[in-house]
Amino acid sequence: MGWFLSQPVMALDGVSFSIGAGEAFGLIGPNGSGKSTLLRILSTVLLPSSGQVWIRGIPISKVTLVKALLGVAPSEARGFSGELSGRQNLEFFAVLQRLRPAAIRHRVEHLLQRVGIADLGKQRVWTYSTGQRQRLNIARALLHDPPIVLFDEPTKALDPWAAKETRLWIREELIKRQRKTLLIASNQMEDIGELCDRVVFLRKGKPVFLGSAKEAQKLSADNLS
Amino acid sequence: MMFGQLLRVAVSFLWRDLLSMRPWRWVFEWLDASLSVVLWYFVTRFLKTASFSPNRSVADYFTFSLIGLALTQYVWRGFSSLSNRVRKEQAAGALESLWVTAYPLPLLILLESLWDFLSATVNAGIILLVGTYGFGAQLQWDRMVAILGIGCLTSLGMASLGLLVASWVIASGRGDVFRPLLNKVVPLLSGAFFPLSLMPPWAQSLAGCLPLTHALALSRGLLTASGGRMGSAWLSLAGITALLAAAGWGSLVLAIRRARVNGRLVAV
Repeated sequence: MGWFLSQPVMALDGVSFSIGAGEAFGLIGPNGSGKSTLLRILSTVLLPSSGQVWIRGIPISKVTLVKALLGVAPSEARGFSGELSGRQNLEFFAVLQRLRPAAIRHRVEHLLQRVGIADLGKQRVWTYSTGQRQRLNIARALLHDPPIVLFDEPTKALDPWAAKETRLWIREELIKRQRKTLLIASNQMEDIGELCDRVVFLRKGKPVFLGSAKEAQKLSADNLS
Repeated sequence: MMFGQLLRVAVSFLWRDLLSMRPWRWVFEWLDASLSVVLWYFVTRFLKTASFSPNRSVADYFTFSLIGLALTQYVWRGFSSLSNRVRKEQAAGALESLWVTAYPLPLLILLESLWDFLSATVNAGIILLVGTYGFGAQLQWDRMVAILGIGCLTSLGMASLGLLVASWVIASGRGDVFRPLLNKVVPLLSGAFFPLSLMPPWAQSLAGCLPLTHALALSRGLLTASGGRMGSAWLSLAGITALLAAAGWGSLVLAIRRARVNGRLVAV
């Protein structure tokens, strides 16, 4: 029974910060530092054993209300049906996000264009490259036009060119044009430096630095870790 | 939740699975169902040599087992696929992408199984058709509406059993050890291929707790025009289905809550 009654693990400890509307906030740290765990708590996927989280004044225990405010782009583009086209996959998730039937087609087309894969909309998802899947993943997170978007490793597994392109798109489209509030977890300093206003650096679940992204960049990763 | 919204989500799941299905897979599935009938036809021809009377009211063993074969599709296709899907989605991290949508995850997991139960119903229909028109089974086709009602209740009952197994899968993250077992045990205990009277009394009591047992009794009664008053069988089927539905739903809600605590809702 040991595996069933597994020992609890302290994944996060003493993490406290607030993010302003329209701010791009970074979570940085080495693998296993608790970034993804924190993001999953904020997206209501995980229940914290203690502590409090509010999103726009709503406690995350109000799952339905909180989920409506959030767009979640996990680190890997999971949950898509490979046999369906990108458009069909987005249409499916649009229904699950309670979009009006009349609005779905237009919204999906709009997002496919915005993330730059409109020409791939009719292709089956299994033919997509990792970068194209990641864009589809971002489009899915934006279907219900949430004011807050959570990114877990947005450039993970992307080649340097695709990563740069993704960062540019997030900055121009989501930060400058749509003024979304972003929370980006990454272990890539480029992601944080190019996209975030402020960051918190996590190590073994504890915050070791909270400040501007520029300051974080000045401190070498070695010093922090 | 509005009924219209629920219907839209249900249709979108069915549409997604229909689009994912390749036409050649249909052909092979239907061929598989038809070949099962052929297999049972020859098995029953062989058994005719023995003086075997499974049920006084059933014309012959072929018809008896044909109905058993048709209804076990709800176990082998419906129930089995539900827990298998949940396991695969948990391993692939797809449950997380469903969780963050606007609908409750237990509902989405249940609706995901719609396609498999619809498919089980189609397979059951093909088996009965091939049995009747290919091999001369004597079935009362004018009672199909009632049979469809049995199919709906059986689907719900087996889906609920599937939810119980899915709850274990989600909470433990240890695979569905129960699925292969129940795939054998449910048809065995329900008397799909032989009369319940052949089994020991304790097994017969256990059989009474399974929706398939009552679904088979009703279907055999209706399709072979052998059943008298079947009100109690209808009540038993509806009652057991309702109990299983409540247990399945409740356990899934608890399992998801536990998985949100121990982190098993995401890829394991």
